[in-house]
Order: sequence, then structure tokens, then C-alpha cells
Amino acid sequence: MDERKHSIPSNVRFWVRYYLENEPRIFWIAVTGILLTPLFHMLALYFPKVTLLLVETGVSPGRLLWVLLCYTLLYLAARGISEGFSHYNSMALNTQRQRVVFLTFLKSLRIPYAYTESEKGRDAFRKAVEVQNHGDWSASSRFVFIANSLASTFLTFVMYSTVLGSLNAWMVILLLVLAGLGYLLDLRENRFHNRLRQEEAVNEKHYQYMKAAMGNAKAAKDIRIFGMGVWLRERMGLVVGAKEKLESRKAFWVWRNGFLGRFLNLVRDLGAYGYLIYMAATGEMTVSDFVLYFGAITGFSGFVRQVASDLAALQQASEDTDWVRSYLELPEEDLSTGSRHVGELVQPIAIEFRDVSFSYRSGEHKTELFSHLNLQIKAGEKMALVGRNGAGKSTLVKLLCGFYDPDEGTITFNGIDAREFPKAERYGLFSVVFQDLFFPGVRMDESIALQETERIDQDRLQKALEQAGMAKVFKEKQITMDRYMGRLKKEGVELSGGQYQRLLLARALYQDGAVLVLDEPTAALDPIAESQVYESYQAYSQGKTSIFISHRLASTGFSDRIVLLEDGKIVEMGSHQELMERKGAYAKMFRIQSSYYADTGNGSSGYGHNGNAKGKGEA
Amino acid sequence: MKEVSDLDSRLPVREHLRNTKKVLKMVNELDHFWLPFCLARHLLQVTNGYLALILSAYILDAIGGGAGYWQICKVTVCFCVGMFLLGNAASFLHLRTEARKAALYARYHTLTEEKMLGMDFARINSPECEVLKRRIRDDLNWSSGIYSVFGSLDGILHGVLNLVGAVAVGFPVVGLVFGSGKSAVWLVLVLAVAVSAVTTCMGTRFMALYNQCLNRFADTMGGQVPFLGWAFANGSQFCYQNGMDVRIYGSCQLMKRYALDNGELPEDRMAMRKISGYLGKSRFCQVLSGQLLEGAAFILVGILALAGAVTVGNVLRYAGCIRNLFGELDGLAKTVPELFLNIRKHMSTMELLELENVMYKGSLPLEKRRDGEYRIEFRNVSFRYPGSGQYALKDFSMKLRVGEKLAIVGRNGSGKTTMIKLLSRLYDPQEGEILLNGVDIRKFRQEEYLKLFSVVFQDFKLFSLPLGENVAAACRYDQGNVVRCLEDAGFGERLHQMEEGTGTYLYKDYEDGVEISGGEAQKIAIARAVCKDAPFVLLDEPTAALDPLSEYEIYTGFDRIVGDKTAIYISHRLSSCRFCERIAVFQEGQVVQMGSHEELLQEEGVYRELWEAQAQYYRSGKHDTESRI
Repeated sequence: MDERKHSIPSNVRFWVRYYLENEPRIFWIAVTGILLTPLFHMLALYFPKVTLLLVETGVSPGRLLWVLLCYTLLYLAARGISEGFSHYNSMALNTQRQRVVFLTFLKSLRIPYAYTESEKGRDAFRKAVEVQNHGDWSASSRFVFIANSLASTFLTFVMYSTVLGSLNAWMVILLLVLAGLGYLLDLRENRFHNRLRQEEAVNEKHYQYMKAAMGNAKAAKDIRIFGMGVWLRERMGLVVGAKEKLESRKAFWVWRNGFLGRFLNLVRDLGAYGYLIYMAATGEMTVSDFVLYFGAITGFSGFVRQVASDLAALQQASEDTDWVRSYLELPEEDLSTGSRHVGELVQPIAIEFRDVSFSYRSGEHKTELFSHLNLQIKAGEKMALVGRNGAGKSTLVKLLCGFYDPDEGTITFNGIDAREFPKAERYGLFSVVFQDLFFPGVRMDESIALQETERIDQDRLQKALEQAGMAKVFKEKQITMDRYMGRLKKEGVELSGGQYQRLLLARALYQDGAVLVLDEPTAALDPIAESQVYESYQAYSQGKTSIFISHRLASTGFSDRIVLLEDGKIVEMGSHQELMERKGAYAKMFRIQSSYYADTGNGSSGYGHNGNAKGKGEA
Repeated sequence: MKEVSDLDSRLPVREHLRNTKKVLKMVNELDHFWLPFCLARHLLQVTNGYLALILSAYILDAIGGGAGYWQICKVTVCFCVGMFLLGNAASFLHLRTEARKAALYARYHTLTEEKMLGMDFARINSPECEVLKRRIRDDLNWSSGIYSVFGSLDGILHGVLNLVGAVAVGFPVVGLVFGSGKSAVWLVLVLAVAVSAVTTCMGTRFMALYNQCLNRFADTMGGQVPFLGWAFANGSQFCYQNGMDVRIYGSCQLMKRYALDNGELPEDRMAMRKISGYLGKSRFCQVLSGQLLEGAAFILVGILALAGAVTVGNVLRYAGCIRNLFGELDGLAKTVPELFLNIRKHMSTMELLELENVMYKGSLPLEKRRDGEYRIEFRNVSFRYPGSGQYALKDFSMKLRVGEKLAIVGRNGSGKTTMIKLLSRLYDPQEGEILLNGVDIRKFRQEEYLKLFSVVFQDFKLFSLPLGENVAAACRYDQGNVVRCLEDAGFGERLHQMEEGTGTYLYKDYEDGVEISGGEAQKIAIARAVCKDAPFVLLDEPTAALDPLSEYEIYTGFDRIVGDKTAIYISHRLSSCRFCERIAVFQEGQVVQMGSHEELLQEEGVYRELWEAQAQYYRSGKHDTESRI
């Protein structure tokens, strides 16, 4: 929390700078509002007095009409312009509020990936988006509204004080004391709300989750089959019930707390009436002044408390701002500095993990995954990385690509420390097929190549699609590159899971990186499609160093070398034959999987069952 | 059905009133007390306002009339204490209504989700429903949901009561105006009303233009290019892992274009400026029409006072009443259409809530059979997904034997999952029938029929709720049974590591629960299927995310999990078929082969092709060693 903290003035400067740079109108309109609002408040205060004064002095009706008409018009102009502008501003503020969210998102792409992925980074992102997700109550908008209100209310307060001070300076002090007491009550209420805020946020989180869960079309199958409607409804009932209880508790508390405030107002009113009636009854005050001062006295505390509550709200908005600001001000990943260039590397490249240690950190907690890991991948070698879920396969890839930095040791490309290359070039060295399908709803070519269409070499992309076996599909379905991916736009293109997987391959091929990494690319494919992937893999990896991660050990057949990871350690390494001969963990895993396939197409059935039984026995 | 939301077209008042009634009825059903409470609260508040007005008029006149100081004070104290008490009551009611409002809001905004729970599955994903949901989203996009209706309602209640109060307290002024015979009075009155009427009209016009442009703008935002800022930021088009793709493939510029630049195209900026202009102008006119009348009220009463028709004290009283009268009339002229518009935004929601299920729910009770003698037959079933031209199943026939283990294999899109969806009545076939013990399954009571099936879908979902509840699919469950099911599914080891046991929350979306891997999730899903203890177990690719050892655990545990139930097993890993007595091979929506693994391998056909495609890698040819097993 502390590393994020900025003072309120510092955050005021932050937003002023932001708005002046992006939408100066917002700033200037806010300033106009600050000047006009006190003006119309004062005009409103004097309105009854002026009227009564004119009546008292007995001017002609025509004169009364003209004076009051001019007065009214002046008031209308001040208030109309001020409020009209503020409404005009509200849309611009809304646009900027969203823009800040988009900037936050883009920022998440430019900071080191390890941070984005970490729990802390995800929390920070979620918070930074969330505080901007409350309409006019969002940090960026609220800051303007409140700063505006605060400044204009303060000016109004000063003017009221002057008016009352001219009557009796003691009265101003007395009223300040009363208003101060009221303010203390407000503070108490704020503290109460703050205490509940956590509870409310949890309730809201539960509510939103249950709402999404109930409405989740993707869960609809399970909901029906398992008759979960009753369960989810009951859960939702609990959440809403808790909300109701919380709200009524709050209502009662606020009412009780407000009681004293209302009592203070009663005291104030009685005092003011008593004093003013006395003054008027003894002839020391005209009726019109009576009206003016009574209006000023009752209005006065409202403004004092407004200032106070605005200050509290500004504090809150400032804390919200801290989330946004600290995220937007995160240092970006340096993509371009480096003493070497990947162009110097002779391809295919050799990779070495030299004494690499790496730990996952979550908070204070540190879990060591790799300890002094050594691994050499020869230039042009095809390496298979196998191991159980959680053995560290994906982490190894992330270290290699540069998403994580090793705590100790180095990773080298052709013997050169990978850190010497500019990050962008290092990333570009790799063609990676990740597990998660990522196809944004943009133009087809853009969605596949993840580049803007003007930067795409269409011929090369076509070639990649052909290699991945998707060119034919597109042709059959008459999908052209100017259509859009997904359902966001009408006529958008939707494909099957297997086809998306092949598009991932096409993406990797289009990039044509020196190192090919495939992370479980066949999980969603049927056997024939899977087999096609394996076969094409041979062709893809020609002249490249490649790493293949898969649960299906079938893939290891193509590899020059197999590395078996277990809890971050390389437990076995060698060709398939060597490992099978060693009869270690790999051989066991392979046997388990292959036992089902053991008998060949000649249909010798008994053999298969034996294999099956044996597999069981060994496990 | 309307394709897009349409809030601009004119609607007769009668229609508006009907809509309003519909929504208010719904609100009243959700909370009987809310509306009466609101009414009482506004009544108290309005009364208090007029008491203050009457008091100040009294004081001013009493001072002018030379009444005694203590006399005035006594009355003042009475009034003040009265107002204090009323104020407390009003405040209490106000806070109560606000509290109820929050709960009401929460209830109201889950009505659609609750509706979804009971809606025909076919309809949930239908284009019709998508359109409706889109309309709801569009309609409620720029508003604060049902709160905006409450807001307008509050305004109207207050306005009407205030009008009544103004007339009640200020009625003598009417006689004074008519009796004054002063042309100036009439001039002021007519002018003020006329100018106010004109500015009100202008304000309404600007507001209409604003709404119109805003809706049109929402439709065309981003012009010809999609704008994905929100989709990226809220996670519907992006998750943090995708950040790796963005970095490897250098896609920052692409993301920026769709997340930021496309939302800031110059023509959109100009349009937005124009729209905000309407909003500003509309507010300006509102201020003008409202406050002009306030000024006019003072002028009017001032002129009357100069003529001696009104005492000084009553200047305040009448001016206040006239101001309230005019102000509220002017206000109602805005809040009533605003209420109608806000209500109209909820008509798409009402439309969804009124959707009736078309799927026949059946009425035949299902005989509970201890022996599990349930025979299923697909007879010439054809099925197309709604909105799709292609048959997913075509003239499909198949029988399931009691207690058998059937494997279904086939390429992606050959109709395997569709068959399961039809069997579990998520969809009804368009042609042909599915029979249970010779009776069309549509005739059975749906909820009873569904009790026959446990399904683990490929894309199963677990909720971020306690583990035990996920397994039992209920708030209360038999602890021992749930633990046993989890153990059977191979989750036992992890379960015993959990401090909270079955009470452990999954994931972090609801409570700060535990993260589980894909494989573990799959085991929980299997445990859920086991826990249901249905005579049919349908497993759709349950091992896709598992590593070889976990996969093996599931395979070997399969017999134990399924027991003597009838089981259907879909998998791309043909090795799983070896567990099954019969294998059905699907191709293009039909069963093309059926038999045991050995039989099928001897036939020329799809199965052998599929098998070979996978098995080759585990045999000597591809790997250099003989798999000597």
C-alpha cells in the first residue's frame, strides 16, 4: 500500500496534467464552474432579501419588476452556464474514464510479463480497472467532481462567513463550532462506512460472481444435468440476504448517528430564531435582513459540512487514484537496449541453461522450482520436454523466452548471455504455440499474425496457413482475410477448437522464429489431426532448434532427445531408446500410455490385454 | 421480435402506462413495502418543508404586527420541535427505503439470470436469446439499471405531493392574483409561463436529440472497425496469459489500435462532442425554465405586496408556494417522460422474463428401478443446431445396452457431443425419437428424466464455491459420501492436504480459495458425476488436460467409478476404448462402425485409420525401440 501512496495535492497535479494533456476542455470547464457556483449561491441567498427590501421601501411595481428581472437573469446565467457546462463535461469525463482503463490495459502489455502474471500484478491490474469502473464514481471522474465541489463550496463558505461576520463575528464562531460538531458526526459516519466497505466489497464480489455464475451460458449444461438451479439460487439468496442485513444495519446506524446532528440543527435554529427575532422585535434589524441572515445561518453549516465531506471523499478518490496512477507509472520493460543483436547469431542457435536457479514468489513466500539447473540444447536439436503437471515445463519455457529472469545463473544463445540482446529481439527469436487460444476479435489476418494488417506480408501468411493446413479450410468456407474473428462483429468467423489450434501453428510459422516452442498443441485434436500435427512438426522444425511439450508421449518419437522433468529437476535425459533401456520413470510413463496401443493392427487381441494388465501391475 | 433496441420511437401514453405498471408490479412483488414506504417518506418530507414556510411567514408578520417577543418564541419553539420530530421520522423512512432499495436492486438484477436457470437449453444459446440479451445490455448500458427507475419514481412522488402541498398552503394567492386587477401581474405570469414553456420544450428537444444520437453512436461506435477496449480490459477477449503472445509476436501496436485508437477516431470524437453539447444545452434550458419561474414568483408576489394585498410574511409563503408549484410542474414535465424512458429501458428485460419455454417438459413419472433396467434407443434421429444449416446428426440410430461400457470415437465435429446433448435432453431432435424402455423420452417429466444421467462434459464448469458443494451440487450434503466420491475420482490425496477439507473454496473469484490445476478440476468434475449416482454415466473427453499418470489413474479407476452402470465414454485418446466392451465410430452424424476394439481393427474403416494414426507413435517403427510389453 505504501509504495503506491501519493499525497492528495500530488494526485490533483496528476489528474490536472492528465486532463490538460488529453482533454483540456475538462480542466477549463471545471475552473469556470468553480468561479460561477459561489456566484449563483450568493445571488440565491440575497434574492428574498432584495425582494422584501424593494417591498419595504415601496418602489413602483415597474421598478420592482425590472430590478428583480435583471437580478433573475444574472442568476440564471451564472447557474445555467455552470450546470450546463458541468453536464457537458460529464460525457467527456466518461470518455476519459474509459480511456484510462484502456491505457491501464495497454500498460499491462508493456511492463515485465512476470509482474503481470504474479498475483500482485493481477491484483494491481484488477484494482486499477475496478476503481475506474464505477461510472461518475470512478477515480478519474470523481476527482474532478469533488475537487470542483470542494473549491466552489469553500469560496461560498467564505462569502457566507463575510455576510454573517458583518452581523456578528461571534455568531460565525458559534456556527463554526456547531458545524464542527456536525462534521465530527459526519466523520464518525465515514469511519463507519469505511469499516463496512470491506464487508460490502466482499458481498458485492459474491453477488457479481453468483450473478455471472447463474447467467453463464457455458455452465448451463452442467446446471441442468446436475440440477444446480436450486443450489445456485439458494447461494444467491444467502448473498442477497446478507446484503439486506448489512444495508439495514447501516441504515439504522446512520439514522442514530444523524439524530444528534438533527438535534444540533434544532438547537441552531432555535438559537438563530431567538436571536434574530429579538433583534427584529427590538427594531435593530429590518425584516429583509432577518430573512437574509436566517437563510445564511441555516445555509452556513451545510457548506461547512460539505467542505468536510468533500475532503473525506477527495481522500477516498485519491486512494483510488493511487491504484490507477501506480499502475500507469510502473516502469516499462526496456525492449530496445542491448549490446548485441540477434542478427549476429548463426542459426539454428544453440541454447544453454547454465546453473539456473529460479523461485516463485508470492508475497513473502518463496517456492524454489529450479536449483542450479543445467541444460544444453544443441543447434537444430529437437527436444521433447515431458513430465507431470507442475513439473516446471512451462516455467522452463518462460525462462527461455525471457518472461522470467533467473535468480541465479545464465541462459545463453550460441554462448552469448541472453540478457545482452534487446528484449524485443529476444522475444522475436521464438515462435511459441501457447496453451491458451488467443484470437482477438479483429481482422482475420491480424488475429492470426497478431500484427497490424499493413505490416503483414500476406504471401508469407498464406504460406504459413497452408503449412498449418488451414488454407484449405478458409478456401472451403470462403473465409477471406478482411473478415473478423469471433462473434463480436456480425459475420464474424468462428472455428472449431482444432482449427484454432492449427491457426496457432500458423501464427508461429508466420513469425518464423529461430526457436520453435510447442506447448501441448494437440490436446484438443482428434487422432488424425493430431497425427497431422506431428508430421508437419517434422517439416516445421527443419533448420530450427525446437522444444516440444506434450502429455502424449507419442510426440517424443520425433525428438532427438527427451528431457524428463520432475519437481524442477531433470531426472532423465536421452534419446527414446536410451531412456527405454534405462527402465526409469520415462520408460514407465511411456509404457503406461503405450500399453493401450501396444498390439498392432493385426488384431492380436490377447496381447493387448496382457499389456494392459502389466501396466496396471507396475503402476 | 425487435432486433435492436429502439428507445426513440414514439409510444402512446397508454402504452407507457402499461409498461410502467408492469415494472412496478414486478418491483412490488419483489418487495411489498418499498413503494408504501417511499410514499410515506415523501409525505413527511414535503410536510416539513411547508411547516418551515408557514413558520417564517408567521414570524415576519408577527414582528410586523408587534406581537410580544415571548409569544413569537413560543410558537417558534413548537414549530421547530414539531419539524424536528417529523424530520427524524422522515429520515428514518428514507434510510429504510434506501436499504430496501439496495436489496431490491440486487434481486431485480438477477431476475434474468434466474430466468436463464430454468430456460430451455436450446434457447439460452439461440440467436433469438442472444439478440434479446444484447438488447438488454444496450438498453441498460448508459443507465444505472432499476435505480434510474427508482430515481424518476422518487422525483414524481415528491413532485406530486409537493404540488398538492403548494396548492393547499398557497391557494389564497390565486384569489389575490385574480382580484388584483394589475396588468403587471398578468404580464409577469403569462411571460414567465410562456418563456418557461419554451425553454422546457427546448430542453426536452435537446435531451431527445442527446438520447437519439447516443443510441446511434453506440451502434456505430468505432465506425467500420470494432473497438475492443472493454473486451480486452474486462477479460472477455484477453486474459493475462495472452500477454505472452503479445510480447513474443510484438503485438503491442495491434492491441493499441483496437483498445484505444479505434475508440478515438476523429469522427467519433466530433460526434461525442456534439452529443455532450446536447446534454449541456438541455441542462441549461432546464435551469432556465426552472429558475426563471422562481424569479417570477418573487416578482409576482412582490408586486402584490407593493399593492398591499399581501403581508410581508406572506410574500415568503406565497412566493415559496408559487415557486414550488411552477417548479414541480416544470419538474414533472421532465421526470414523467424520464420515468417512461427509464421504464422502457426495462422492457427488453421484461420480454426475456416473459419468454415461455417451448420444450415439452413431459408429464409421465419415471419408474425408479433399483435394477437399473433402462434401455435407450435412438431411432432415426436427425438434429441441426438452431441457426445452423448443417445436420449434426443425420438419420442416427443406436441402441444402448444396460450396464455396458460404450466408447464413442470419431473426428472432431462428427456428432459425438451432440448425441450426449440429445440424450440428456439439452436439445430435442427435429426428426426421429429417442426411446427409454420403449417410450419417447420427451414424455417423461424432465427433471425426473435428468436424474438418470451423470455427465462430465468436455467444457465442464466448476464454481468458486466450496469443494463439497461443487461435488454435491447442493448447499447441504452428506460429508462422507462426498469424500468417498472425491477419493474415487482420484482427488483424495489433495483433499486430505486441504485444511478446510470439503469446505475449501475453489479458485479466488468468490472467496480467497485454492487454485487447482486443470487435471484436479477434471477429477472434481468426475467426482461430481459419481456423487450424482445416476444409472447412466456419460464422460466426454474427461482426460484431455491430464498428464499420463493422472490419465492412467482415471483409466484404471474407471471400472470402479462407473461400477455396473451404463457408461458412455468419448475420447480422442483411443487407448481409452480398450476399457469398453463396445465402440461406436461416428462420422458425419452417423454411426458407421460398431463393435469391440478387436473386431473393428480387423475391419477396413474409420476406426482403424484413427487407431493407426495414434498407435503408430507407440510402436517400434516410430520409436526406435520395441515397446516390449
